[in-house]
Amino acid sequence: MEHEVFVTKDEFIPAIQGMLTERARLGTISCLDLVDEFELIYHFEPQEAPEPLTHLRARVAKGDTWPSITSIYPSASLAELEIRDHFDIEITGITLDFRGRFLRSKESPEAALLKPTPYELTAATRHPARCGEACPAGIDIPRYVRLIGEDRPADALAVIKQSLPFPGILGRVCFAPCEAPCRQAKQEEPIAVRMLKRFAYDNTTYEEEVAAEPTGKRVAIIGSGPAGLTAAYYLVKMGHEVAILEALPEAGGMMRVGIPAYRLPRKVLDEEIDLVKQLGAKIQTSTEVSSLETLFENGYHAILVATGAHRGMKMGLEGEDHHRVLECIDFLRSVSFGKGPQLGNRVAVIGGGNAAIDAARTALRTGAADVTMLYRRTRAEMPASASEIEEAITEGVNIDFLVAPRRIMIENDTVILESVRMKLGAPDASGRPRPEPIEGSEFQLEVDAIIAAIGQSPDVPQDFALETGSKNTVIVDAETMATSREGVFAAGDVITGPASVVEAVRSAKQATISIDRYLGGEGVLPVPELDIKDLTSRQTFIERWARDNQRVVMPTLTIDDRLRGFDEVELGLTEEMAVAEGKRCWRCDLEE
Amino acid sequence: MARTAIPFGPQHPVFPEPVHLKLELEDETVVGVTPVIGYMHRGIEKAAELKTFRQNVFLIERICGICSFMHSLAYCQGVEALTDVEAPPRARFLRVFWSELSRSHSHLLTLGLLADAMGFESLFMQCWRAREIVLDISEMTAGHRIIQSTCSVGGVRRDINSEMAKEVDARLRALQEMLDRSISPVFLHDYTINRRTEGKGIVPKEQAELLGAVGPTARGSGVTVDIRQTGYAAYSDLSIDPVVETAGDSYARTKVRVRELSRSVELVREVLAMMPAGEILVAVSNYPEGETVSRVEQPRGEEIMYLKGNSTNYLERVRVRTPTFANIPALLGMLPGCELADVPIITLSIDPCIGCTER
Amino acid sequence: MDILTRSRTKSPWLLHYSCGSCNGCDIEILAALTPLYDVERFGIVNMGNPKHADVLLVTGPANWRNYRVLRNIYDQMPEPKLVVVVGVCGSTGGVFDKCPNTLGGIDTVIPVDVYIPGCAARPEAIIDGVVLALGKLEAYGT
Repeated sequence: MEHEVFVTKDEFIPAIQGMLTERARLGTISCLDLVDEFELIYHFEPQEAPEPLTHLRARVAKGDTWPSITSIYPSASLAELEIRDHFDIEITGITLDFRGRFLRSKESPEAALLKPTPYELTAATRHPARCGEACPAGIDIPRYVRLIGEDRPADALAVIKQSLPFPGILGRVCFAPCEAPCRQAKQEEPIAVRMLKRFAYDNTTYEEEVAAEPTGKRVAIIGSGPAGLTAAYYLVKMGHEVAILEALPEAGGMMRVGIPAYRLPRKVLDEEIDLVKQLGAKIQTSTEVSSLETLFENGYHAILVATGAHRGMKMGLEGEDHHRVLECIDFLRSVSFGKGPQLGNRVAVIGGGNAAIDAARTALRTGAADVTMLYRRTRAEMPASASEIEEAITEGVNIDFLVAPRRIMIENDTVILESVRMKLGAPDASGRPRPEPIEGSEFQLEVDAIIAAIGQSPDVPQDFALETGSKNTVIVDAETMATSREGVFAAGDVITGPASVVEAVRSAKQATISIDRYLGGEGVLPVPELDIKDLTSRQTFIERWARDNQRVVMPTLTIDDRLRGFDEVELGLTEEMAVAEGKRCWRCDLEE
Repeated sequence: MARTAIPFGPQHPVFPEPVHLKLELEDETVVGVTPVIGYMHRGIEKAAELKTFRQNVFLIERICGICSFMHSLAYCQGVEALTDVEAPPRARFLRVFWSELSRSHSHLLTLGLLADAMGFESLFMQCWRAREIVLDISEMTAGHRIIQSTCSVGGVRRDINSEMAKEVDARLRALQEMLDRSISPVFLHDYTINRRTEGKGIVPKEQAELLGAVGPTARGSGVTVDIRQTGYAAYSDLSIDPVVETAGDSYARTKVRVRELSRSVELVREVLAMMPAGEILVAVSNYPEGETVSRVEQPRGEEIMYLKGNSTNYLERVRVRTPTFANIPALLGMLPGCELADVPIITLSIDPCIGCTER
Repeated sequence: MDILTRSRTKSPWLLHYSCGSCNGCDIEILAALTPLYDVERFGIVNMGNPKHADVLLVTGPANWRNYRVLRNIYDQMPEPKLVVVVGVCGSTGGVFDKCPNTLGGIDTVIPVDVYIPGCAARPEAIIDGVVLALGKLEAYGT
């Protein structure tokens, strides 16, 4: 500011008198709380002209008194009273007084403008952000996105690891329920949370903490899918002895047999499974469990049923049992184990879920040239995630909407699929419009193979004697994941029907807590303490306003390279891209 | 003679806002007055430290709903000085446009309230009828009748197209005619108004200076000060002559407002004719740093805003000296000696805005 | 409808009190009384005396100083009485959230019957809100 004059307490009154002789008008008095002391600024304006201003500045120690200037400038009275009331500076000799206090009543907060501590030391108060609240696994998303924006991927990975055992897998296959509620999604595109998670996993390492004291309790986990592995990871860290029993020849459950390698490379999957093994869990593959009693007799104290949903649903069509009509999960499983059937050139995939998309894209990679998907509603109602649909179309999958199969006829070696066109009617129980057939619009499609992907259901052996509900799902307590049998818990797709990996992680974490409680523990997940310095000032990014706000685009393989085999399609972000994307976050968690 | 104490307010039919005056009377003559305020204190200065400097625009413009635009203008000009940003020329003209619209609606409002306090009901209605024209223009251009919310750090947020400008001009001509034909002559020449205000609440020039009066209150006492002369926004391109009266009584202050009102309407039309083309908002890409004092001329007088930034998203101090805050000592100088029945008129003649004063 | 309810609903008398508002809603309430909106054609009259009033119009958030005044005014009004809050800040605290001297919405101090949103609320909204309140006043009589 121009024309600043610094005065001490002794020079102060003469200086004010000097201003009066110059016939300056008092504008007002500003008071600043500098934590150790106060600063008073007297703003003076010249007479009869608007400029220039003179600012008289004086420092007042806290607890000190200060002389009033009302005997010289009566107009200062109101400002002085305000300063006295707001800052608790004892200003002596205010000639024009108001009855009682000026802006404060008896109950009002004391000295409202006083600063408690300097800004730099005020820890940022955090609020729940929409992304973090939407995450089924409860990851502190805004925090790790921010850490990536600050180019600290190792710290970011540690934050993820607090709530999620398998960032490598989830960084690739998660449907990212956190991205839809992002506040930026309303205006532009949401933050690419999943890609950032993958970046953190791919580029840094994380040291697992050593397991706790053994408790002497044994837990059997049936199924080595995401739910089983998650539970094993935590239970081992809590000190329990864990055995995972897997019916298939390799561990991983649906992650191995349902998710094709171009989305989840087997290397990453094996790394994360090895992590659980290194921690001390034993995985017995090709071990089918038929009875829970045997397990209890073998000395297991608790059992977690995490068998997933591996039984494909039947379409209920004539001709469905022919060997050229494949079930989606069976097809994906055999391809995963390298025993994929010869499909032929033309393949029809029936269904609109993520599994259907996986089947279609896998079919392209196993030699089919012409893959058509049939779905009975429109693209807007398709349950598959939008990015997956986009990828499939890019790779050359035709999607025929509003078509439902009627019957399957086998003539010589060709399969003829008779279908009917549909139209959308009134919404049904699920809220989506009910498709209604348009009579007389039947048409025939000649194909070499049909893959039916209309959903899966859990396949729990009758001998388990567990109470089951609709679509054969195991009924559990929503809070504890306990089944109808004591000591038996369930998690993952087996309780929900086919869902997502991150949902399985959520239910497995809940089940882990109650298994630990059942075994006499505290029921607290072993979350490592973090020694990560967060923002301590109230600073937030300004980039949000000054920057070109474009969501990062994941680099991918070319179409030719993709169809050549099962190489991973997404190539991962570079450091530069990830940091830019992290900075794009609006930091809703830090906002006032 | 025995003294009587009369409480006046906080809830009083004359004032739309709560202000409490403890009057000491000898018979019917006021001999002492003690204002008790704080009924509308919200603590906006402190709240402005707790919100980011961009969020503050919305808070600051709600210090007062009448001169809302000018509060945000003072704030935005201050922050622009701290962030080394200059508002584009068109934005500066648009700022004058809305400033002068606010000034004309505020003057019409206060003149109407003054007429109401005198019992001149029809004049009150006429003033407020004329005011609706200004509010319609405000709604058409800014989207809201009173809180325009168009000022932003780095410029303004809304533009006026030529079609709108034509319509605004036509409406302002109608307003001008209404002012010339009925409102201004009544305020300037009517016998009743003259008798109710002349010689009431006199503040001589020296006293006005010493008591720190600003705006029409100071100009009614012969103090030639108008902050628009500093040429902020686009005022440097417009001719601003302070409207000055010398009598220092309520009548003089009323006359200042009536003449300023006509000038404001003219200014809006001039600005519309002179408006340059171009950008209206520039990006602000750094944090406010340093200290500044920003001043604007509001309908009630000069507003001083002291801002201190420390290179964060938050300002370290926002100090707002509103015009009524400066005029209260002058009011206390006016009241002693008048009759009790004149207290409302004298109080309204400084156009008190308690919402501004207490913030 | 008896004669008392009828006269109340045909000509409700208002009392306006401004707590810590920015004046925006207050001048809109006044604007509703002036020729363009002219609520007096519905028999609505703005009164200065709480003992005459049927409807209390309040603007702005309550603060530590004025809440006792507001309660006092409310207590002085005769039954049946209604409280109409005008503006967002009076309804919830609104933009004055985090201001150190405010208590939040008017309903932290006295019971509120009708909330009129808007910042500032438009005269049309205010008239609509008062009419809503009249429906409640009518219900008192039956």
